Amino acid sequence: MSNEPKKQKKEVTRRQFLAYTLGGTGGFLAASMIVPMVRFAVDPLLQDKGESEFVKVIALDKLSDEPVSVPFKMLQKDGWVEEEVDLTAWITKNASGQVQALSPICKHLGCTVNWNTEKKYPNQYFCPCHGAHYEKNGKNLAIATAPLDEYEVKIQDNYVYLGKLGPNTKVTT
Amino acid sequence: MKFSEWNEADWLSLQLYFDTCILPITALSGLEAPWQMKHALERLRDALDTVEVPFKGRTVTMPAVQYRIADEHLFVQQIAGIASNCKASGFKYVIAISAANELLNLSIPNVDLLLVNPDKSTSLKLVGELWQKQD
Ligand code: FES
Repeated sequence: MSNEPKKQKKEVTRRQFLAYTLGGTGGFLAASMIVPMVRFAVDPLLQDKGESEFVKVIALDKLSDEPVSVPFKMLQKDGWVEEEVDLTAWITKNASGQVQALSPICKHLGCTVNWNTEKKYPNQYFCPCHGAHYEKNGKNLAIATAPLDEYEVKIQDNYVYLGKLGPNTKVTT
Repeated sequence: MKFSEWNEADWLSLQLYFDTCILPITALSGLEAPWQMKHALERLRDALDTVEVPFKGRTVTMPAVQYRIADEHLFVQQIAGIASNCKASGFKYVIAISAANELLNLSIPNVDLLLVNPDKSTSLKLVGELWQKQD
């Protein structure tokens, strides 16, 4: 990709890293000025509001009705800071070929949900933190008050491309 | 979430959901060259990522304990004391995370789980088991 950032994810200068490596001093102050609110844990606010960028993530023929967890990298802007972040989406393709890519971030308080890992809730997404669970299309069933967010999807040359994260469009509340 | 992401009002309303304190331990001796310290911090950051990312909504990461006291007994006492205080402040669980292999077989009172250089799947399994066992 032409806009692939030079910066490595593992750089020591990442703000969040400083927040704990420097303890209560400089890193703490820098981080607290920029990331002040708990709601950032679950809201897809940190992505740039500008032109949507799409990232190639998986071949269409690798998808089925069973959700697969697909890791990908995306450039995100937060104020003046641009950072390549590691993301994951749960992606499905239904019988009519429609692709949906869900964020794994629980809409309760931001833990990561997994597919079909809890015996009590077969074929659902489950959050290990406080037990929120969701249907395959992301519809929230308990604890969380909103459905899982959804990535914009574009299909090109039999590949799935993901764009911005936004509210779930398949679930009506 | 990290301690630095909180303000008072949010903490008061959400504390009940954040019952697990993460205590990062860098365990530097002070003998390291600056670049070795940087690598130690990067390894610690990677170890922390295995718990902080999947369990962001139930854990609070505290500032790191950066240096270790050479006397192992005193060092264990120091960490145990911090963990005890975390519990006294309201946390139910304390998870200590380090990238320093010297900590591998330590048993630290008041620490419910010690993860040294864990990979993603180990952290997912052990943290999940910790909560399931005691919830
Ligand atoms: S963060 Fe998922 S249930 Fe609370």
